[in-house]
Amino acid sequence: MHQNPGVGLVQQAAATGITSAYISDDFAAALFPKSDIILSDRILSNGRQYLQAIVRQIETEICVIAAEDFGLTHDMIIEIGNNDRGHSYPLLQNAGLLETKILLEHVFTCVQREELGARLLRKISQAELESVLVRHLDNEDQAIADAAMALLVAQSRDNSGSAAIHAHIANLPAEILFALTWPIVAAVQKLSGYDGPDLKKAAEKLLSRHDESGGTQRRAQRLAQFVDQLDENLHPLHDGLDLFLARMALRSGLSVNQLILFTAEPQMMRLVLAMRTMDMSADQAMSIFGVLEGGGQLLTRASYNEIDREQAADLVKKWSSNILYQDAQRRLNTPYTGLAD
Amino acid sequence: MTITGNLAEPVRGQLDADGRLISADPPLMGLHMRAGGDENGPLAVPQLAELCRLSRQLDMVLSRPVQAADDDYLINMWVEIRPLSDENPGTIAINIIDWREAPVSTARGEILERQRDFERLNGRTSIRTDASLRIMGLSLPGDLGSVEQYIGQSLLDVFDFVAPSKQTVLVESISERQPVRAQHVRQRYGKKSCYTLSGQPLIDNDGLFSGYRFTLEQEDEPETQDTDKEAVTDMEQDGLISDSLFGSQLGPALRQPLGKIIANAETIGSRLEGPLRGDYSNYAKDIASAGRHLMDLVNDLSDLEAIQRANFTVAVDDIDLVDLGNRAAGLLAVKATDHQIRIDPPDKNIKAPVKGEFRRVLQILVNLIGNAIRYSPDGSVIKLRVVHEGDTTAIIVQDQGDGIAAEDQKKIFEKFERLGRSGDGGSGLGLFISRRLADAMGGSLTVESAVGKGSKFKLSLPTRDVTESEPDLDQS
Repeated sequence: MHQNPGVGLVQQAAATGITSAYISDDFAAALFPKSDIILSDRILSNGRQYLQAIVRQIETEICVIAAEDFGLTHDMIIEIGNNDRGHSYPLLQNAGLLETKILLEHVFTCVQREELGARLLRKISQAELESVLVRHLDNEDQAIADAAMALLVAQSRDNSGSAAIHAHIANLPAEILFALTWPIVAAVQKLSGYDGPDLKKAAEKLLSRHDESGGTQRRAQRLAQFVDQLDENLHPLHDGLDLFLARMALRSGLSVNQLILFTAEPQMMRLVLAMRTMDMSADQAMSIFGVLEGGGQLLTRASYNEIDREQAADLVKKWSSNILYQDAQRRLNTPYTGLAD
Repeated sequence: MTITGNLAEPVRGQLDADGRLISADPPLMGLHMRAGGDENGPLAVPQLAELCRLSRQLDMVLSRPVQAADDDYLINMWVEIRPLSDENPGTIAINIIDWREAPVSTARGEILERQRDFERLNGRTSIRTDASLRIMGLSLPGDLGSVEQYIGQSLLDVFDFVAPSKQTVLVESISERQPVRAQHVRQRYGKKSCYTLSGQPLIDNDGLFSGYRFTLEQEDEPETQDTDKEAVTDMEQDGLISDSLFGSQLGPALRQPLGKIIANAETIGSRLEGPLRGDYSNYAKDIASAGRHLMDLVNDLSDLEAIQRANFTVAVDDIDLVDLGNRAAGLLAVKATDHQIRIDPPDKNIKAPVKGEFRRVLQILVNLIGNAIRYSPDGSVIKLRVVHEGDTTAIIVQDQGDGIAAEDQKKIFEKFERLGRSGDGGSGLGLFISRRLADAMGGSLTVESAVGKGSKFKLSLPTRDVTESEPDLDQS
């Protein structure tokens, strides 16, 4: 909970009295984590920053469209459109509207991807990373050259800001933009007191003109479809992070988001299994592990070669099956622990 | 399959509000029909149908990669799904702007074959059984012909246990789903070869026991010990070993502790068991590296002893040098890639049938290509070519290394001759063993080289009569 300096102590105390009732929720979440992934302070901070930035961008965009395209002249809405304070964020947070599974998984993936990008930059410079795509620009196949250029443009857009975390509305998958837009519309309506149709129309326009293909991940996936079969070498230092993940996803049948999640897990075990399934050599797998790993852990040739490829393939196939099915299976297999009070 | 590459014009289709494919360009319609769809029926390509549902639900344009299987092909598409809310509410337009077809990867099969080559090279194989120990798959090195008759039989019917190992130990381990370690067994039929049997239980996706995967490592025949007095004498004269047979006694006795040293040193070096000071970790890595070097030396010495036995013989298999050249290149592909070296194997479309022992020819080629990688500059190319020469057929391994001076070309085939090189992991026995093996198979191993111009090692073996259906070198 953020303290608002504009509010008096009495009001703050009253508000704190309400929120403190949730201390057991917060404490339980910290005390009894359900996943094996360790959430560092940096991850949490970056996640918060990312979410704030995205909410701010969507909010601003809706207000600007409402004002410019639909002639809305409401003062408060114009003010929201003109500054980048992220007015609706505290409202959405308090109402628990930012706690949906799909949204939080997306935020975590983005933050972990940033983390991987930072790890990669310890091994190779930004300039070198950009130059890895340049080799595709001269490809005789114009489609490959165009796809490489599109990815370069998307990456330079991501890197243009000075913020620690790169958040851009263009990179959002349709489901995430959809899931955030309507709660933000409701929050802006509540904040402004405006109840007319123009905010909703602006939201519809924002959603209808959103082009997923402009996102960095999508552009990397498109380039991966073109170049993967032409280029045997698969490595983050050879492809850059986005193209590497997209190519690995294409080859393994897993999604890019799953692969990013795997990199956050202890010893990146599932990523290692995926590499084994893809018949990567021990040297290649160890090298990729070394580049992506951030906790000082090592993958040894012996432990990699020990992995039974067929068992690994069965597991990877299972992980690449329908997410809803996997989720249902997991819940059904969770032992019933009785009712909590 | 007619479409390849990106499309000049997108493949289009349209779904009505009920999800039926009301129009589609021929490639999409074909895919839909082959996926079990009907004309004007619901879109039958699940990946596309799911995207259409999502697009309709969100009323948003989606732009995503889609992969669909079509017979033996995988189709990678880039698809744009657009709801046509303004024109016809509920209608969805499908635009496929990239459509790439590729045969389903055979990499898995190639990898399995490569794994089997490694096992054959090391005299090892694996057996997969079901939960009742019935053999579901196996291949025995040197006894390939009898493989099929074992499939379906119980493992306990195929192998006898040799003391001190007992069948009861195996049965107990299996009943408790425990790993089986180093049991001595002998084939009940065929060549009655002896093996060391180890196995791991297999657990399926539902967590149920589904059988075992056993590894068999061929042992040297105990009865050969009494017949090798000449070999012992040779070895003693060479000062190689004192009074025991290396291959049958000292070799296995050394391999086991060396294996443990290497494994433990790797574990320590990689800090799997906990944090360790950096220099200690490096010491452990040095120990592992030295252990591997010693293990190679033990293997070479075992081979050296074997080929020096008076009764040393090789099997006469019908083999193909092109096939073996490709297999050997595959086994060393990773090592070559580490040095950015490209191995150019012989053209798989031609045949070079010869007579020789599969495992030994593979061993020679791995040695020749391994040497070529070791002594070639990074980024160079190693060429493998086959030539037909009268009654023999040869495979040539040509590298772009420093070459060998004329006066040294005889020396390299001598025991422990390293031409002054050291510290590169070689034992100085590889070429000596390879030449003796080639001689034993009725062939030869020669070198042609000049300083600064690389080397060409030529392995010649007796040509085998070709059946009419096989095109040979002359025809290609």
